[in-house]
Amino acid sequence: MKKKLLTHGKLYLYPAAVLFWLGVWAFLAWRIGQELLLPSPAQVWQSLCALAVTADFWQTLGLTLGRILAGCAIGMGLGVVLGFLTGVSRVLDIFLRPLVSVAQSTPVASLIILALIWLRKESVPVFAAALMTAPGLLHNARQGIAETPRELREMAQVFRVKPGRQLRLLYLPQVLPYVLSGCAGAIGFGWKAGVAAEVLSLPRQAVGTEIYHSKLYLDSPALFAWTAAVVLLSVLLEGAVKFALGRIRKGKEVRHD
Amino acid sequence: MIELRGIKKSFGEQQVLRGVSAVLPEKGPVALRGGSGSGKTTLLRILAGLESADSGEILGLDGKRVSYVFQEDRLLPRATALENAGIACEKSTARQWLERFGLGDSLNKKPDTMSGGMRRRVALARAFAFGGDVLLLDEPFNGLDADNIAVLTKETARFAQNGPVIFVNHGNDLLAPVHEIVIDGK
Repeated sequence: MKKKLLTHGKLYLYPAAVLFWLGVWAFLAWRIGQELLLPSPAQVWQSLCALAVTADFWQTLGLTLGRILAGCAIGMGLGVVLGFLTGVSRVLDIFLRPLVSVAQSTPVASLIILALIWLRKESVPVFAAALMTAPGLLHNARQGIAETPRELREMAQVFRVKPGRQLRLLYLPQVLPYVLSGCAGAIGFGWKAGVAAEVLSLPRQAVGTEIYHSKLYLDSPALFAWTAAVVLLSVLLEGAVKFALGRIRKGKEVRHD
Repeated sequence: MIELRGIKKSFGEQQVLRGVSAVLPEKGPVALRGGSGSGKTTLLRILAGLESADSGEILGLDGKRVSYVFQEDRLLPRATALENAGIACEKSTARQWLERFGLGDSLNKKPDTMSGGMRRRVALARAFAFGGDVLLLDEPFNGLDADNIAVLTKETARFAQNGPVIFVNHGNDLLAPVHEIVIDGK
């Protein structure tokens, strides 16, 4: 009963919080009174509606989404494979650590500029999203391997279990929860890095390119509208990933029972 | 023939094995005796290749496949009884051994839905299904009822006709041993 009340409370609080901050935004925009510095929510909404009726808007969103999802998929795949390998090989772990540290501590803008020199501009957002998602997944997969009980590793050693079977029966079930928990966060990072890369690399038909042009032409409502579209898409994407992961987890539990 | 020569093992300051020497028979049951904490399990682990001795040597074990019933069941939590028992052999072999231990109708059960006795039988089935040249048994009776103790005794006797079975079992002997290794732990 108590839990139900709390859940209901939360349900009412979320829209209330959104409305509160929209109110703060509207108040500040009214006080400043300059569309260039801070457009009001209504002006941004109008701009977003004007954009949303064009096919170009949806095409641009779709292409950005495709680039960033491709980057996230590459980064996640790479991270999980390297996490597995560094989890089972101490030598490889030591060798890769400096590279991972450099990737994690180098400002993403520097890496994007470097990528601009190395790659075609359409590939830069893919690269940036991959680079931001891989280290987190690598860390999670490695941790999952490290947490595999020693007793079970010894059992596999005694019974000379083939590597493929060890992977499927011993390590994958152990690593999967760690990887799943890292996925939603990784997509968030990849999304931000991907859009930032688009702003710097300006590929054809990209949200980042539109944000850059809005800034260039001092079109603040359009800048806010594209940003709002990015935020909405990011929230939807993260929600979809969480939902999918929840289904995977639930499916595993049901099969487990 | 397997020969142990002056096996010593310490964990930090604590010396567990103080120079164990023995010549094991080609086949037959071998009882490993000693008080609690005397190092019996440590010696089994050394024989299984899971620990290395600080000094001493083991002769005649190279290239031999060692099967081991651990003190704990050590089953994969997300794998079925059949997958656990068949982790290192054909599924048909694992199925036969599970049936022999009375688990023919529980092949697809996972460890968390089994009783302690059932999990023990899966661990036994895994060790017998693997086969090997040497069988190590550490407290194999844990959680078994009289019927399954009889099955285990029979199968162990059968294994012992072809290779050595080294067992630790407080209380009753699994089989009348043809040899004993006594570890005093002092």
